[in-house]
Amino acid sequence: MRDTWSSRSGFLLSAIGAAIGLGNLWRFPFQAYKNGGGAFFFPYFIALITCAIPLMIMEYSYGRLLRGGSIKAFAKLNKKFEVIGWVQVMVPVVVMMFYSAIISISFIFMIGSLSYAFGNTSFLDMTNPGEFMTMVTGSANNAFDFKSGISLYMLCAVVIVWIFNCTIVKNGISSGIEKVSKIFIPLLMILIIAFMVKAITLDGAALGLNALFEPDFSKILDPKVWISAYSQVFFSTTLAVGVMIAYGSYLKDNDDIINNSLITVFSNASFDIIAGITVFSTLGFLVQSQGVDFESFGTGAGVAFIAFPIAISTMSSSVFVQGILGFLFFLCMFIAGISSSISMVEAFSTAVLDKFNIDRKRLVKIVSIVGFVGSALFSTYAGFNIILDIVDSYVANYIIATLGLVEVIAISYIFKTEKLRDEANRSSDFKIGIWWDILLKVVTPILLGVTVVLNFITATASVTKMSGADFWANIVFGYGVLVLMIGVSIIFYKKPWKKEL
Amino acid sequence: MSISALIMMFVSVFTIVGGLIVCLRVALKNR
Repeated sequence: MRDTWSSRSGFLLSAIGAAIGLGNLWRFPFQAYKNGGGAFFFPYFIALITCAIPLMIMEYSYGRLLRGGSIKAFAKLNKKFEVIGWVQVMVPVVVMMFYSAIISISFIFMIGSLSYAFGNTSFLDMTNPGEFMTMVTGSANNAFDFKSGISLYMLCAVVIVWIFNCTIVKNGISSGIEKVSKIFIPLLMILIIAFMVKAITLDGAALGLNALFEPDFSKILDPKVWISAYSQVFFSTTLAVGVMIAYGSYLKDNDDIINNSLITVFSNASFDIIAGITVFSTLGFLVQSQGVDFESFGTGAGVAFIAFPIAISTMSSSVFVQGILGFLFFLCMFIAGISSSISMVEAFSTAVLDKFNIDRKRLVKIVSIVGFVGSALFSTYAGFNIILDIVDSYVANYIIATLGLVEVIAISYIFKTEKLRDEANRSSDFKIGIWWDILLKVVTPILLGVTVVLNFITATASVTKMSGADFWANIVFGYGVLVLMIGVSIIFYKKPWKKEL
Repeated sequence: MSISALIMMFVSVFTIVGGLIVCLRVALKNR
C-alpha cells in the first residue's frame, strides 16, 4: 500500500521545507541587489506567476495522477523517455552530495557558537569567524590538489548530516518526512522572523534596506535581469528535479492541488523576501559600523558564515547571548538545509521504489552510504573550495533548466494539459482555466528555452576562455559529472521493471 | 531610507506575503 501524507499541513510544511533552502538565504538577496534592487521584484513576481506556479501545479497533479515519481512519470509518456526521468533523479543525488557538505558547515558553526557561548574562543571566535572558516574549509591550489588535505571537521559533520537524512527518509512519508517537517519548518519560520525583527532594529539597517530595495527601473529592460529572475525562481522552488512530482504522488485523491501549489510557491518567495531583509539589514549595520562594503563578504556563503557571526557578536554585551544567537542562526541554516536534502533523497528513493522490488529502509541506507562517499569528496579542501562550484554550476546551467524545459514540453504536449487541469481542478479550492494550458504550452517553454540557451552560451564561453588546471577541472568535474549522470541513468533505464508500470 | 526604496519594500512584501495570507485563509476556510 502506497504511503500518503497524513494531513494537509504535513504535506505543505514538507513541500515548503523542500523548496526553502540555503540558496534563499544567500542567493536571492544578492540577485535582487545586483539586478535592479526594488525593480527586480517585477520580473521576479512575473516569473512566479508564469513559471513557478504553473509548473508546481503540473508536477503535483501529474505525480498524483500517476502515483509515481520521475521515472514513472516519463516512462508513462513513452517507454524510451524513462531515461530522462533517471537523469532527473540523478540531479538530487549529485546535489545532495555537495549540499550535505555545506549543511555540515552550518552544523560545525552551531557547535562552535555553543562552545563560544560558554567562553571557549579557541574553537570559534565570533568576532573573527574568518579564521575558523579557513580552519574548517582549508584551501587548495586547484581542483586536482587533493594533497592539500581533507577537512576532518567536515567529514565528521557530514556523517551526522547523512545520519539525519537516512533516519528521516527511511521511515517514509507520513512517519518520517512529514513528522520532522511539522517540527522543523515552524521552528525555522519563527527563528527567521525573529532574526528579521532583530536585524531591522540594528543601526544602519535602513542603509542596507535602501541598497536592497532602491529601484533601478532602467534594469527592467535588460534581458539578463529577466533571466536572473526566472533562474532564481526556477532553482529556488526545487522544480524539475523530481522532488515535487514525488511529493505530489503521495497526495490523497481529495487533497487540494492548486491552492497547495500557490501556498508552496508564495511561502518560498516570502522566505526569499524575509531572508533579503534580514541579510541586507545586517550588512547595512556592518557597512555603517565597520566601514565595509556590501560585497566585502562575497555574495554567497561568506555572508552567512562570516558577516553574520561578526554582526551577532555585536548584538549583545553578553558572550553567552552572542553564542546562543549564533547557535540559533546556524540552526536556521541547518534546518533549511536538512529539509531540502531529505526531499532530494526522497525524490530518488520514490523513483527507485516505483521500478524495483526493494525495501525502503535498505534502499535509503544504500543511498545514504553512496551520498556520504560523494560528500567526502566535497569535504576535501579541493572539493569544497573548487570542485563544488564547478559541479553546482554545470548541474544548474546545463541539466536542471534543460530538464525543466523537456519536462514541461513532454508533459503538456504528450500527456495533454486538459487531463491535468481536470485532475487539479477536481479537488482544489481555486480553479484554473485554459490560460494555464497556454502558460505551460507556450509561455513557460519560451521563457525557459531562452534561459537554457543563454545559460549554455555563458557557461560555454567562460570555459573556452580558461586554460591549464581550471580548464581541465571544468572538463573532468563539469562535463565529466554530466556524462557520469547520463551513463548511470542509462544503466538504470536498461534494467527491467520489477513492478507494474 | 529613500521613499522609492520604502515603497518598493512595501509593494514586494504586501504582494508576496499578502498573496500567501490570502491562500492560507482560503485553505483554512475550506478545511
